[in-house]
Amino acid sequence: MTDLLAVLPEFCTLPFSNLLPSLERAQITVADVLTSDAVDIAKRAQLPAREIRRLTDALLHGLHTQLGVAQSSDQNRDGQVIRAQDSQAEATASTLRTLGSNLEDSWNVISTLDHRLDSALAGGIPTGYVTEVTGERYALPLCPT
Amino acid sequence: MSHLKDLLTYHPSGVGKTQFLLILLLSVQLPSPIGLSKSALYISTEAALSTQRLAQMLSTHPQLCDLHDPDKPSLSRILSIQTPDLESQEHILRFQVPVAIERHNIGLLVIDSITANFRAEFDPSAAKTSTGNNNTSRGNPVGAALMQRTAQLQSLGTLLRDLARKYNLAVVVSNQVADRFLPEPNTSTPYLTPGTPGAQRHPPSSHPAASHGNQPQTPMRPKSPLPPSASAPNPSSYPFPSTSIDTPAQTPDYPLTLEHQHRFFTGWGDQSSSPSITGIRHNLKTPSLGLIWTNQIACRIALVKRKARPGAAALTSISLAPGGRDEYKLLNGEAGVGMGASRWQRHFRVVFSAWAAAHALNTTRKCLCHLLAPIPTPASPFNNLYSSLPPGASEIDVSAAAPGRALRFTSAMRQAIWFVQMRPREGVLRLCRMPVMEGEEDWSPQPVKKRCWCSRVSG
Repeated sequence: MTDLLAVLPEFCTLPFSNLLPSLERAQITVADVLTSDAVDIAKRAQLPAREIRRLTDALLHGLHTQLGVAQSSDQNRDGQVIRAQDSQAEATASTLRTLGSNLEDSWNVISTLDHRLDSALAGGIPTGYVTEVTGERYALPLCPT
Repeated sequence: MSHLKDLLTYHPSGVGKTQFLLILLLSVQLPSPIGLSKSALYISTEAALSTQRLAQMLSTHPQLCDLHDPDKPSLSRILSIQTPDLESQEHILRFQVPVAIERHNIGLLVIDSITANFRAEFDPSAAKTSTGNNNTSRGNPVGAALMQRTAQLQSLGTLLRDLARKYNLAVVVSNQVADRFLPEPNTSTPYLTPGTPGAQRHPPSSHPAASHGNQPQTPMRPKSPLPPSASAPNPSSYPFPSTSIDTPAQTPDYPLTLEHQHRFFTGWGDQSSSPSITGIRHNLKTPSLGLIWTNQIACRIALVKRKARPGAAALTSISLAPGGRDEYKLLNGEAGVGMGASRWQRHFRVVFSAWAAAHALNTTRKCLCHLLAPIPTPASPFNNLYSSLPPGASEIDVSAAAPGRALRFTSAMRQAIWFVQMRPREGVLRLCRMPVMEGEEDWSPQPVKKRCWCSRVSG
């Protein structure tokens, strides 16, 4: 379960701190927990199946929240409209799902200081994306990889 | 000695990758319409950040040198760190970079290059020789190393995308290229050649799934070639020779092969029909790290360098007044007589992108093209031209240098079009200014065409 940090960095592991060492020892990944049957996982890690189901549900909810299709749990408790809007705005920044209008509002580009290159790139290098620049090196290496 | 060093440093084989990245390091600091008013973080894996080049750019770039203190980008707002190996790169990216982004208000993360550490630490040939030619699927060391590298690349891609999204950061990485080799039609078995009846026997659209599904290996890594008796089926009895491993997969024209699909995402090989490039098949490149890494990025920009087509070498003469009183010889991209560097044409290609259409731009290699080569070499015949430039203008938009068009400085001097005048007998290059009508905000080719007539002279 060491890959939990990479998959869901915001996941609160506190309620499941008793499960994680056993899962770690059995070399069970997050993908295993999500895709395998809870009984199988429980047998491999020698843990109660009900606990594994609880962990699976929490992981799924965490992934849904990250994707933006579920609301985070603390927002459910919050009744105030303004607070909810604020946290929603925060949530859109951190979730994978965005609306087209949000995308348009937050569209920032870095110009290449050349209008032709900029027009080819539709404005420049935008934020929020990984861009790659590729080309030959100075001294050409003959490396058939 | 320094002369030699300069020549080497700005050797024409460079395509301007690092230059492109350095420009971004400065432009991100500019206010909103151009940049983000934020700092930049530069992670280098090979050579350290060249502050000398940055300083030269700051003092000579037409859009940067006129700025004054509060707006002017400064080197102090560029953080730089070196990652000599993969482990330190992983640690720095995962733990130190997020802290630095929050602390220093970073808007741009540049990694130059993403390939070096992976290439240095992944050596399939060493793994292969250590255990001999054991090509079984389970204990294959090459396959295991590839699997491990795939996982590393995917986690790196996830990390970079998360950083970009979380901090609203532009992440720009540079990649290297490797030569791509296509199977020679003559050396392979005869029915592989596209012109032979055997190749025409299996049309690409008819049974792709059947031939694809029966292949035990990907077309990238074919097994050791089968003996001819096994791999060469009788053409009459095999309408679809799908039992052979390397039958349709090795033909680069077969649409399901990776060789065929390379042209869609590598930036090389999709213009084979272009008449200007001869021998394109021998000059194919592929960005390193393969399809796995290609899937991690949102945009690929390829900077391609090619020999310019021979037809573009003509000098052009332009007369400003209709009466033809002043005749100027336009310096085309090819016109640097005896200058090897000017024969190269460079293409800026957006290979694929999540937000812009994919297309290519030609940028003819010249010493004055500021974006790609900021400082003319000392031995350059363009030196006279460079010294006669007005202050603040050191860039020529060479794309406009097609025959019959004027050269233009994309600089602060938008209001004027500058012609490069060449006097071959005196060996002098001079600039001539052509005034543009008032109220003309931006340059467009039409008013120029109206006022000048052009003719080709044999160069």
